[in-house]
Amino acid sequence: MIERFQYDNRIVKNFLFVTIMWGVVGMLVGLTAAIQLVVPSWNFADWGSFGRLRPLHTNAVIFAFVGNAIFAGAYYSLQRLLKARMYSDMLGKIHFWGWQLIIVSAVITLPLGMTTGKEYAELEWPIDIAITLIWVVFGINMMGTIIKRRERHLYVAIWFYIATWVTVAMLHIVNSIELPISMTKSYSWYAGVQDALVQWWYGHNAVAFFLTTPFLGLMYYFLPKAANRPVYSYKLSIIHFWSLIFLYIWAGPHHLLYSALPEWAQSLGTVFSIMLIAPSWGGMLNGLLTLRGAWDRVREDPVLKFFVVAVTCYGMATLEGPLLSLKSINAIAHFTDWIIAHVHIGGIGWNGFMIFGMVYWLVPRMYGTKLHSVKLANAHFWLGTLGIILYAVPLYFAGFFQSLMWKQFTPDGFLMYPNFLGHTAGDQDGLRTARYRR
Amino acid sequence: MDTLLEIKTAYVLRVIGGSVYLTGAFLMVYNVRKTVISGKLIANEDAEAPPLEKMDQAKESGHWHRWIERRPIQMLVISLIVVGIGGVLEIVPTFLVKTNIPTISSVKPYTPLELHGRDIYVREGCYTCHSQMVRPFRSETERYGEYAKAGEFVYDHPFQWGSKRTGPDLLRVGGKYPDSWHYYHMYDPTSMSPGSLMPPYMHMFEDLLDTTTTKRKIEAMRTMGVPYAADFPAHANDHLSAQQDKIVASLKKDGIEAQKEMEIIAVIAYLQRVGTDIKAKEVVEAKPANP
Ligand code: HEM
Ligand code: HEM
Repeated sequence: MIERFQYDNRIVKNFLFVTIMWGVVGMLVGLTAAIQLVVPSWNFADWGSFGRLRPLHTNAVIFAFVGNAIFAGAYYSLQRLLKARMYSDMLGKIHFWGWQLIIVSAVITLPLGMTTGKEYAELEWPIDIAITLIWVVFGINMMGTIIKRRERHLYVAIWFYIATWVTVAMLHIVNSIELPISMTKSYSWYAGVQDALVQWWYGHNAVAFFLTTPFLGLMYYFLPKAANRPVYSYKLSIIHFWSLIFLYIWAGPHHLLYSALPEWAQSLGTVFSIMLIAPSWGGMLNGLLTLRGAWDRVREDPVLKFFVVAVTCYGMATLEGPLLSLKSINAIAHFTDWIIAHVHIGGIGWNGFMIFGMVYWLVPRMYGTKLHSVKLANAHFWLGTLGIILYAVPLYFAGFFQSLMWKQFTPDGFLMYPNFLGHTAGDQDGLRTARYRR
Repeated sequence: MDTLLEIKTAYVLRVIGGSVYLTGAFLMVYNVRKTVISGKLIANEDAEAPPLEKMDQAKESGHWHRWIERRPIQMLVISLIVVGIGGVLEIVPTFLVKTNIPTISSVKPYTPLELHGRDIYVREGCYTCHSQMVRPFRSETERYGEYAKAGEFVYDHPFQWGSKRTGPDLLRVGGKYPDSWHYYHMYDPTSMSPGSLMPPYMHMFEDLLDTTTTKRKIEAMRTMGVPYAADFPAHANDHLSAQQDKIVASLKKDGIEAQKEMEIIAVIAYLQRVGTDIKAKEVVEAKPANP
């Protein structure tokens, strides 16, 4: 007996289009922040100063650009992998509009200075509650679809979605415990060292379970589809899935090396971060090796090109990450632009390029047509790649030299550049007045 | 100096890189739009498949991992346990084991004015450029002062250690400059630090501090265990007013006529307080008696 049913593409289309829209908005805000660091007079108003726009940039690209892309990709792939329509069209709509409302409220409140002051968790408590509710709606819709599936086995992409869902729920709820004093202001329940630990347990795993695991899920669906090959190794996907989610959670303290966090916690963070290289590269290799025998297609198909660079950037970020977790290297890199370069290899390389590839693959399919111009898509690919290089490479150098100058001593044992600006702006007058003031 | 060049160049290249990257994205927008126009959304895509058969024990063969692949709820629960282990083992001891955060007797709660100032610090996102975490390296203790101790932060809701130093660390900024320096600096950073990238904060000189929330703020802190006296919330604004007067007087000495209700006064109060408790005479790291 065969059952007939229909996949819901409209919800996928909606999520996909807002992904593009918020991506452009979030990156324009990032660009504004980047310009402000060159021309300070671009800090045009209290609501438009760097300190308020930077959180807007990070929240917009993470939760709006990457977030909506996760939902688009998951709604598309879940239906196909489970051979079932999404559990409820209504829940899908609530999920979609609820999430956009959350983003709009972030766009309004962050520039107004309503913030908890914790990175990537800046949104104030009423929005935190809304996020929790919408996340639950997403969870019900996903698990509901899984329950009524027509395919017995859950494909590896779905393992990643499930792990993403529970972990983000746990992290968000624990880190957002705060005491409100008004609708727009609250205090973190935790203080000092404990707040720092909880925050970076959350913060690091926002990277792990928002920017990484769901994207591995997307990779496991879209990359084999686009290449028309089976995944390289089933066993590898099992091992790397379980070890990745187990190890990742411990790594938070690598953001707090040499800080006032207890030594043992710092060491745990380092050890687990170094071990993380194995499952991370397991994922990367499983992705790249899926393309074996299809490399001639990579040259022609922009979708595959985007995926290859994305997965390569993932490999670079996850090689660099464990190195950055070594205390000796972190001592140099922490607080500098080196970290910013690392972040954007992940953000614009891995996440951005996965999303672009997905868009070029999905849109023609859902509209029953061909991509308007493969040439333009190729142009996009090269501009994007050039953009990543121009963004990251100079910042690596800058970060490295920045740190060296902070640490340089004169032969008599004084700081070579006692004035902090000595190395950023570094004009002689600044230096002289600094000495004089001392 | 050379690094001026290096960093400025890197920042300029980032702007170019970002623009190029975005140009690519705009091409995509155009391309997608054209594609969408040339086709029509297949809102409901037809599909067919046989329904799920009852789970048959005999069919439970294959790779051992297949077992979990058929059981979504178990998968969810086991995933939660697997990620829960790391979280619990790291976080719980930091909360329960006292020796992890040795108390320092000279560290006291913020005054109401300083607390307001700190909230403005959070509001403006100062932490996006300034750390408050002096690491135990000579290069940092020379530059900033004593390295950070766990016990210094026990009243910091939230912590503000930061993750990026576009500007210098501020943990030991308290008492480093006169009040008037901060007054001028916040109005126009380049007046005190030529070449600084810091934005000006003119609005702190126009906006007045909202003291109606003082009581609620102090009460919230008490709820979370910050040891203010029980009757303090009611009088907090008197204390606040007195401290404002002191700062206004100190500014006056340097020829500045400031209004005490201005937000900048609270910000100065906070900046002059950060990280100073540890400088107090008896810096005893009071370890709990029975560890
Ligand atoms: C055109 C593209 C982009 C530009 C021009 C840009 C620019 C910037 C700038 C100027 C900063 C502040 C750096 C600092 O404080 O020194 C920043 C931070 C950040 N950006 Fe972007 N960005 C872009 C795209 C993205 C994307 C696509 C993502 C992620 C998916 C992302 C994630 C982040 C994160 C997480 C931070 C905070 C880093 C940290 O706290 O260490 N950005 N970006
Ligand atoms: C095995 C994988 C990884 C490890 C072990 C790792 C490790 C690290 C380390 C040590 C830092 C520096 C913390 C500091 O000194 O401030 C860092 C920062 C960061 N990484 Fe990674 N990384 C990994 C992969 C990734 C990936 C794939 C992405 C993005 C998709 C990413 C995004 C970030 C972000 C956003 C930050 C900045 C956080 C902040 O300071 O605000 N990381 N990572």
